[in-house]
Amino acid sequence: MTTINKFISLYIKLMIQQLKCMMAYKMDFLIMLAFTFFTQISGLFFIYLIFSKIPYIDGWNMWEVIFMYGMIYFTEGVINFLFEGTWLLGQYIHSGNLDRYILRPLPIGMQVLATKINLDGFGKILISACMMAKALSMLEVNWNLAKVGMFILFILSASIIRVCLNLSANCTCFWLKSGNTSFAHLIHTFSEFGKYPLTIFQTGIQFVLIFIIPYAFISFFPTLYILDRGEYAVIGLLTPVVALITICITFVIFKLGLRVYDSPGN
Amino acid sequence: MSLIEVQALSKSYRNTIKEPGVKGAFKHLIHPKYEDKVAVSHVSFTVERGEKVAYIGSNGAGKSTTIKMLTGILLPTSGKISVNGLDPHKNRIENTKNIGVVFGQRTQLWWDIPIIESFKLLKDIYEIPGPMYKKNLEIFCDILGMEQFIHQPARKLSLGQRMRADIAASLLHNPPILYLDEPTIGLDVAVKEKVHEFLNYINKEKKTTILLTSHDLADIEKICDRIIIIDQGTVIYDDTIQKIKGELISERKINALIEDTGNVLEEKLKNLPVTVIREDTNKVSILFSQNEIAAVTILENMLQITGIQDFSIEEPGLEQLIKKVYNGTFLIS
Amino acid sequence: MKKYISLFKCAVQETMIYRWNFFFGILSKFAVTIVMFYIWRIMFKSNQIIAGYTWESMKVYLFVSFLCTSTISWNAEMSMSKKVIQGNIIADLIKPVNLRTVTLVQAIGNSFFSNLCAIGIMFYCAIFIFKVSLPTDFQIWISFLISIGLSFLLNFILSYIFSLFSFWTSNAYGIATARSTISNFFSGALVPFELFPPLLARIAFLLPFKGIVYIPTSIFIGTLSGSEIYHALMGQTIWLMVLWGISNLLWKQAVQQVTINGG
Repeated sequence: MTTINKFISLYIKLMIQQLKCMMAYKMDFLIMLAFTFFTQISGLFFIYLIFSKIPYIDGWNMWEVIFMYGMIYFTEGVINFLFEGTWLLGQYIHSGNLDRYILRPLPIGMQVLATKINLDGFGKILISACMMAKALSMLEVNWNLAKVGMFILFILSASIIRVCLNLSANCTCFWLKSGNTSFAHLIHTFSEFGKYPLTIFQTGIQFVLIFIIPYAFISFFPTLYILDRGEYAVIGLLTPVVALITICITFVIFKLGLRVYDSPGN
Repeated sequence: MSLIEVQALSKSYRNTIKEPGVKGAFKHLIHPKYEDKVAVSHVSFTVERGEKVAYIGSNGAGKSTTIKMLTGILLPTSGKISVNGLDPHKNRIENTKNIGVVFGQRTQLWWDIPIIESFKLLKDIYEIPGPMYKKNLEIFCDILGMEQFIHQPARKLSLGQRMRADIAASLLHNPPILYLDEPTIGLDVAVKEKVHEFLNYINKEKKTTILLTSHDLADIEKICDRIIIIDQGTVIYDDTIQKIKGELISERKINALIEDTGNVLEEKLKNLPVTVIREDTNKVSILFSQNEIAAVTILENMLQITGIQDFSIEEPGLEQLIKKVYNGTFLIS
Repeated sequence: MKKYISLFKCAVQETMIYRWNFFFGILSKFAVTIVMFYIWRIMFKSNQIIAGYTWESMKVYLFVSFLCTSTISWNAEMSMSKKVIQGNIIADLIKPVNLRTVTLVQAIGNSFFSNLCAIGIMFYCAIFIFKVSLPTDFQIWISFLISIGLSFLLNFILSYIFSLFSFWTSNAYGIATARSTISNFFSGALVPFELFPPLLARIAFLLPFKGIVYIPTSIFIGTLSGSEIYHALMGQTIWLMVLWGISNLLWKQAVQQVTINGG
């Protein structure tokens, strides 16, 4: 437990350092915020365009899709905001700078996660939170204490799954050694699948999205549960379990990666 | 049990073989080929508490690879390492609490924040108790002369300043073992001296074991008492510096500056087991073996001639000895 | 000329060394197209015709759109921005070559195999898996090929202009993402213009992005015909020249920035 406490307080200190640096680059930040905003809006606009032609996609209405969209963007914002370090793992491996982390008495994975924060991730989080709030207000949801609790748990679990997915994907740099993050980027683009109801895809793709790259548990199943939709809604309860499993798998992958790390450069 | 035990340590890498040009790149895309390169092969040695060991070899000999395995960065292909009873790769976190590491080419300091802030962060990471931290900081600042730049960020420091800060940073938590990989590369003479002084102090006061790789033999002579030479991945020499200099190499050289422009000196020493080389009109070198004749005897003979202006006795430098080790003219039993 | 050829070769080699990255880059671009495919499929289940498209023609639209957007690989874009940020630009400023041409050649090189594979995948999937019907008119094929060529150049110059923005911010990933979002939206890659609300459609027709996807695709499907095709191709060419000029201006600005601030 002390490791966690130590990590958190360290993380906060590192974040403060980075915030200080960022304050120096205000222009940068504002431009990126504008771009982020535009990206989100165009995504929403696309959904609006589709639904202006047809009222339902496979039985799902616009606000339900917007809600799922929000979940995906929220988790993306979490990575960008807090754990941007995952994208830098490849660089560190390629340059040999990972050595520094290995030599410190702290879990390496955690050090990697804490390496960088990106404020426009916070913008994503805000916007997607608004999206979800609006969507929920337009939908009929049977709220009770348990459901609110589950919702918070879902947000947490979804974020964990997304972060672990991203970290594991970036671990491929241990084997590919090029420092190029294209595999992680590929996994990231798969999030597109998570924005829409799972049912529109063929079984093969559904299988991948449930068992291999579990985007279904980031948006689809939690949404099913919250909206009490259909017989599979109860699968949503598995989301925290999936989160735990992804943590374990990520842990193993990272450890394996360290074994083949060859610390280039002198 | 020794503090550091290395047994039959080996490390090999798989490299891709690629032919040059577009055609080669294309072939590589379809059918990649690999070859195994051995960096370290069956290296064994032990280090006791308080020793100061130099670990040297030519570029690519396997020095850095060994250090990286000792510090837990690399996983050995085979063999065993035990540092203070721990396996550095398996028990990584425990082991890192016991070691300090300085890489000459890289810094462990945070780049954009003042050095003192980096130190404070390290204090938290290593859980250094307040009084110990304060005391160490004071002493280190004093010996290494860090007062003037301790409030600057690392990126603004000169190489000499950064290196001093790095060495101090590595020792704040009083580790029993300190690894240094090319710590004095690019440093000027004054800073090197400070570094030597500091390392000797640490070893004397805290019995810190030091394992040092360097190309700078001055470092080694000033600090270390033991030398391990590695070449092409294997250990080819492991013994004290005294031994390599004293007992095993008996060659000595007397350099003399004389007025004699004729052959008077050569005539005088004709019957002694020495080789006289006339370097210049006034400079003479006299080569001899300590086993065959004492320097004193030669000097006695020399001083019978007038006109000797100056002389000095040279011991073989470590560099020449090591060169001899490399080209095999120096046999090690 | 020779030096450009060797630059090109270099860029091609670079992509092949990191073969996995090259492979993943293609899959990334493909993933989005696949999602779109399924969405449209569902939509066409309940409607025969949407905004003038049938399922058949929409399939073609999707696949040609994929082809058009993948002419510049993700890698090529990122390396353009990164080059600017890392200041390799300084080295290039010193060398005796035109920087923009260098970038163009490298982008072609970087995307070369990506394109070949993309075309291969596209045709295979389109013909055998999704059973898309192809046009038979020879003239259409010719105009299409010209249009695709122009589309590639437009794609490049827009990418290049965006990457020049890296002089002022330092976020390569952000720039590339922003570019692809704006581009995807206004080029018609996501959704054909026929689906846009009238105001947006008018804006989209005014911007250069339509030349990247909408025009070549419309030629291919047959939405445009006869003199319309000719006008569209002219439009692409004019925009190309205008953007080329803009990039020159931006470049001069950027160089000033470098020489004043010392990179």
